[in-house]
Amino acid sequence: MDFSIESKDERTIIRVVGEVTADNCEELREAGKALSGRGREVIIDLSQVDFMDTSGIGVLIGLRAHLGKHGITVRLENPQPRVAEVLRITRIGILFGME
Amino acid sequence: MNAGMKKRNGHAGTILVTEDNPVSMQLIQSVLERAYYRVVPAANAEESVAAMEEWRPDLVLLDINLPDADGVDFVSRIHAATRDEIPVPIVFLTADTDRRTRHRALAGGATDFLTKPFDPVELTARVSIHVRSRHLQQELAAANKALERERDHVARIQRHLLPDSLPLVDGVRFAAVYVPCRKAGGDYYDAFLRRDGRVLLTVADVSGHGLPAAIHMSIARALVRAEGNFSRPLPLAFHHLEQVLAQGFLEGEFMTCILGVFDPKDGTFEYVNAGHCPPIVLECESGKLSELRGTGPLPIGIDADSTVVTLRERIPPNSRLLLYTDGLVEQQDADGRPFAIEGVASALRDGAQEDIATAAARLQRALRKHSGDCPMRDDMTFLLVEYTPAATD
Repeated sequence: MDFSIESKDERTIIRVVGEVTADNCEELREAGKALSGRGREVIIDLSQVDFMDTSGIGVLIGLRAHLGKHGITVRLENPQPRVAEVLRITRIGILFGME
Repeated sequence: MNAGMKKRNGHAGTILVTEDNPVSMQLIQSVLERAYYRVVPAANAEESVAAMEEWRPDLVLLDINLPDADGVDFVSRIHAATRDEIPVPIVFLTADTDRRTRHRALAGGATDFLTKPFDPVELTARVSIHVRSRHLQQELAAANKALERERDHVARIQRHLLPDSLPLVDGVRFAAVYVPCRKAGGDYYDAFLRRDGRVLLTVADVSGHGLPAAIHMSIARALVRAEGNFSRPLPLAFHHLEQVLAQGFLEGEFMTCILGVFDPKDGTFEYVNAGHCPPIVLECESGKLSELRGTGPLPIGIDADSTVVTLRERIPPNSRLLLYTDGLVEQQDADGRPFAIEGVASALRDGAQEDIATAAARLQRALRKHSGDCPMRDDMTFLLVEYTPAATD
């Protein structure tokens, strides 16, 4: 997994590439948490994520909770069908305004 | 210069010196002993091998030109004699300054090289580096072993927590498979008879895997088992499970589950689906297959105030109900294709006329065939329930 972070005005975009799993998601968690106090909105672009396990989803939930305390909303964008299906079945997509 | 050297058993390490020249041997011995090493001398290859087994040295200093063996060929004999997990470092001593000799020795498994006549300070410095590195590797290996023993222990406890037998209920049969991708895992299933005559069925999946997931799984299991004695209405049972379990979750941890009660009298399956894979029903005669797609609350650990929604389905006679974790449908083949609901459906249909244990084994086999050499990335669990009530006419 790789990711890049780009901030502009009140909005930060995290573009994630590859597979987000238990073995590699810690870095994403740390980087995301570091965004508290920066802007009003964090968009996580999932268009290039082909697989995400429950630990990866846990990172999204954790970021939503953490950044939410700092008044930042987290949105997920463009998940591929398999990731979207996981977000739908677990109903976790709802938390990110996906349903 | 070796004042900082860590000493074990009153010396800084055991060095086996294999050297046929007595003058050289004397010199090496005195230099190393001054640095608190214990020196075991050997004049030739034969003595050296015998000493290897007896002394288990921390390092071997080896003259490349031995009277009875070629030093480089001798390296493999030394490693064979110790059978150590961490190969003993071997440092060659030679008057031969030919670069090709050095290359051959290093390729043959030598750790380092010293040219005669050697500088005593360099000799002790090099020896100390390699001995220290070996000691660190040994400590690491020991720590790893201890960790592994603990992991094995957790895995054994966890297996022990799964039901050792599934309930005996007229008209209902069960088969279950549980395969953690690491030693311990966050998947869990259970099936037992409640006091009210209904059968509690659950399959759950804690986010992540390994030891942290295993801890949550154990708590969930204890809570669900306790419910068996209360026979409380399902929403209450679920609510209690959620309240207590969520207390132990760290940020971002959660558990999806199906928690249900099946009534063998009329085939009613009442359940809560907390963000879990929808159960599958197969009608054995027709091969008709459906997913119970009703939605329930969010997974446990995300929103303790979410409303508990229970769902109710009638399982037709001569049907099978499959509860499973996503490890079953998500498992990929070499091309990255998931086993998917289609893979499950086809194995279930193929086994529709078999007894339930055979059908469960067939499903597991189909999954294994699909994944081939691809490693499992997630824990995988399923619980297959067959409902064949006695005819009532």
